[in-house]
Amino acid sequence: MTDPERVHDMLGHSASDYGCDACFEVMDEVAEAQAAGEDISRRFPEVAAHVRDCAACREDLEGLRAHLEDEARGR
Amino acid sequence: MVRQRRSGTWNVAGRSASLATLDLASDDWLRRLRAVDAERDDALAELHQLLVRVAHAEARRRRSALPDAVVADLDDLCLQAADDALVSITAKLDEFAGRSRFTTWAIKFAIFEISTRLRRHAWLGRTVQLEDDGWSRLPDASATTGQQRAEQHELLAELRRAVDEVLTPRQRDVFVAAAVQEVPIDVLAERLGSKRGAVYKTLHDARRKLRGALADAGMEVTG
Repeated sequence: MTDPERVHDMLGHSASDYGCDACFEVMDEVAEAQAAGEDISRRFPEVAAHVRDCAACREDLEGLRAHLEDEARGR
Repeated sequence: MVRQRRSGTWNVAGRSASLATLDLASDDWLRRLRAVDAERDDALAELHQLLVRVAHAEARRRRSALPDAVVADLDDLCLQAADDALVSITAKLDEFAGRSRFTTWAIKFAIFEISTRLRRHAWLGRTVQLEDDGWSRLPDASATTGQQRAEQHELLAELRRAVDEVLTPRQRDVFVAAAVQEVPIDVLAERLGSKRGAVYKTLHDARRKLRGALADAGMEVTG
């Protein structure tokens, strides 16, 4: 038997998709906005939807944002 | 090179048609990377050092999730990632639109390269069996009542039927590997001789078809 949340994750959430390539194109801009405290779901809704369903792009965005946050802390 | 100051930032004249206004540091990076001889060589070396540091930092951030075999090869993987990132950056330099700082733009290439390598290296020697559907390895349910268990059983049965009946063979292979077996998309792309974006597109199309099939069966899944 399968947890319904697991089924949701397997099936994704978005009807349309921005795509990994388009996500990569704007990832620097999105990460800077995130690091500045912006809600990316408002300014970049397509990216927010894509990274919700695409684990690889989500992890890459997290990595870029983490770097910017470390940089801001002077690490 | 002639430079113009605009609203407190600099633009590089002659190359600024598609550029947003640049911060001084980004402008300086572009100028040095487009210089000749020693100035460009120095800029490339400095950028490579930055990319290596970023790759190591990203690997450290993910270290707890990395197998020992990957950790043992981190220095090589980070150097390879920085090398390939630098190649991409220099090839795409004219595509930098100035919508972020130059270093943020450059660093995303290093993050992409190291993360792809870490995922793929972790799967070295592991077989992706596309013909093994993997359904039996799905985690146990959190259902606590008989009705919940029955509904979940029905949902899973309908999903498996839809996978068999509405997906193309390629969509079925990608969905089962990526969504059911949780094979990383970069690993799957490598094994299929494809790219992350193309494989993800196939996965997205498969998911859309499956949600539609479940909705037709009165089992719309919303998340």
